[in-house]
Amino acid sequence: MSRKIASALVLATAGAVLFSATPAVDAADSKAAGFTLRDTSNKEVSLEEQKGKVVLISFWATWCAPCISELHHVQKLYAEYEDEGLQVLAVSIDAARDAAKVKPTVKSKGWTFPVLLDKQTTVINQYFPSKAIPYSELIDAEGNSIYKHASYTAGDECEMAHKIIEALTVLNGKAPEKDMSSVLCTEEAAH
Amino acid sequence: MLFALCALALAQDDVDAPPDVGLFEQVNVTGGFDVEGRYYTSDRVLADHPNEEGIFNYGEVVSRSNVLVDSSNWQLGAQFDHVSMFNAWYFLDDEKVYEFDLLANGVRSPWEMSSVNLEKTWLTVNAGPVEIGLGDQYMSVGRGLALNLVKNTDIDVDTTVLGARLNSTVGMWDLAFISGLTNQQQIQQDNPNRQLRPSVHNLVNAVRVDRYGVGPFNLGAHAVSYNMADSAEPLLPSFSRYGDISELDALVGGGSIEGFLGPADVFVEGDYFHYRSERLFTDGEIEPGYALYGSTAFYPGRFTVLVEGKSYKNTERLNSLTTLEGYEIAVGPSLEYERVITEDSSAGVNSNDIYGGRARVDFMAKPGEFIPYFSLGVFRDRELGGLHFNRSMETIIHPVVGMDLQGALVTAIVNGGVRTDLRDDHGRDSLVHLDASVSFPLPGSLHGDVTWDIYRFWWGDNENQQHDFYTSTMALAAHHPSGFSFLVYNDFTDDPLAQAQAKGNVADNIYMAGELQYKPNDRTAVRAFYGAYKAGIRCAGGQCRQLPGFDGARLAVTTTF
Repeated sequence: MSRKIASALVLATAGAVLFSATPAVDAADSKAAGFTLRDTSNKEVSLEEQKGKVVLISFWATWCAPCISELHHVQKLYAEYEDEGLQVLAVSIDAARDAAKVKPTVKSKGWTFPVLLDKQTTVINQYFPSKAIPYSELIDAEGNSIYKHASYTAGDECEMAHKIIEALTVLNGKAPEKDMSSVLCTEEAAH
Repeated sequence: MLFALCALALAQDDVDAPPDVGLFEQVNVTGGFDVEGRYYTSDRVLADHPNEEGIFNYGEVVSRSNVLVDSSNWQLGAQFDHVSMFNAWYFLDDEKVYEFDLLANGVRSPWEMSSVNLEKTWLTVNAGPVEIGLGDQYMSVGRGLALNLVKNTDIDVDTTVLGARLNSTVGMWDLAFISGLTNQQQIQQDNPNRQLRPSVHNLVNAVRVDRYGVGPFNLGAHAVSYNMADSAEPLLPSFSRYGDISELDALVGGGSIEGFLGPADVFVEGDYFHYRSERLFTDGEIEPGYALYGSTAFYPGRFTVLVEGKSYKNTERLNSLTTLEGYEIAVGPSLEYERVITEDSSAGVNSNDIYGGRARVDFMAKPGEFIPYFSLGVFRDRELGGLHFNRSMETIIHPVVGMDLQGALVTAIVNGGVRTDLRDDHGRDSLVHLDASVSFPLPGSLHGDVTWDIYRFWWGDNENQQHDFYTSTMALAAHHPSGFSFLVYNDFTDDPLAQAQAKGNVADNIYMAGELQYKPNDRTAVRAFYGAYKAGIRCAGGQCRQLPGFDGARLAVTTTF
């Protein structure tokens, strides 16, 4: 039993030390890593050419159920805010062998934002090497990463909407006409 | 040549920068750190000391650090993995006895029960239309039939090509080239580390050329060569493998056509496998292999239709020298429903002689909110050796129905099906499966979700005469907006093969566990787990792996910066 206690103490101590060392608030904003990928029609799309827009990069895969749920809400935000400067780049990390499934999935879900193919997992490796998806980053008009979010549970879209609205307010000098956070967060409150 | 191009690209970066901005002044550093401590408990006792319980309990801490230095035209990345053991020994007659060796012969570490590994390093340089990568690189060609080395963290597999990669886009042409040695992840992040083995360096060379916009078509061609490590001398100095480049084990050549023909998308790939090594054919004469794969998708009204077909002969031979090490180097579309792969159906995934197809139809009953679907897979598996549990050919029929519901309050993704392996002789194997991921509101500001997989498997007559079995895996979670989540896990299996690897902690066939998660901010997550889960086969990305069960405690911290 003493060995159990000793080991538990080692683990708990290590965890507590590490936990206390983690930042309590977000670290300073950083430049987003650049990339160029092809979309589902084989057209090249680069992050650099989105400069001047607020860009939400969302990594997902056809086999990832939480990703599908998150992108369902992202579609609502994109439909409302595309004209106000929001660009969504949904990066599929499906391997080459699953590439045939991507476009039918996009079509069947009714998503209208660009979907890029990271078949060789090089871009996800730059952004989030643990590759636990869904993983999202919000990039401002200057290319700074201003919000990172890993995994998805219902209600996370509320915070994401707030962050996007904040970024669009900075971009346009005024708040978007429609407050989607009130819509998504109301849905969440109803939960 | 590659180094010269890198230098040229870096110089170009410097020239293009404003005069007062140096090469390293616009550098951006990001990264992440994951650490997990595990405490394994075991009811195993020494035969001569039956009353001394718990002496095989031990602790393990694994960590992974990633750092990426990013400038406008280049990126430098590194990944460090670490593992340490605690209490992995006991005293017998005052003599310290180690339960196992952390390191197998050939892995160097200055510590007896710890290892730190610079697992991956890479440099990527962009020079106009050319991108050059040095160090650890990923690459796949076509649909992955000839080469598919990508990260697969779902089953803790991460194999790169350690060497040089070049990608270039000029007009409507794409060129990709890679040359190097396979570099397998050595320290497991999710599974126990015992007897860490050195990475076995297989030589891989590949080139792929794509021409876009030939009318409505995109054309592609590729060639891949493999020179597998000699199992008798797996630790030859890394790049000496280039010295015997004439001793190639396999050459693969192929081409693909992709078309956007009005309402339909079409893709066809064909590959020819030329084998030169008897090591890949231990069960007979060397034969060539081939792979044909095709898919088409079209979208009439509210329907989405995807049809895929394949015919593979001797394609898995390529993986036969590498699968025991936990990874596969070439993986084409299996067209299987991989969430419920069993020991039996994994034989179909890895068959050397199989053809068939799958069709799936999705219907947008309520666009974006309610999408039911139906799929049907039919295959003819003609291989009799390898992983197969039977000695006759079989026809596999697998219908699956499911739905995706994205409601305002409840979301649900549900799939269920029946798989039948009809053998020409000796009856049939059958599988009935259901899986569901449901998210729903709970009282107060809590939100819940449940994920549940259950299946029943019946073996037909076979030489080993295994037992029919049930398997169930369930996770029930409650989430609070403050960032706290509490999860309860419950596994059940009466599969003797799974129980032989890890018995349940409630009963031999029942496994229970609880987990507390906390996300203090967007960049940090803490997880504390206590309990047990079952062993079992798991497939992801066409790769299948027998994952061990667990009984004990885990504490994990994940953060990005």
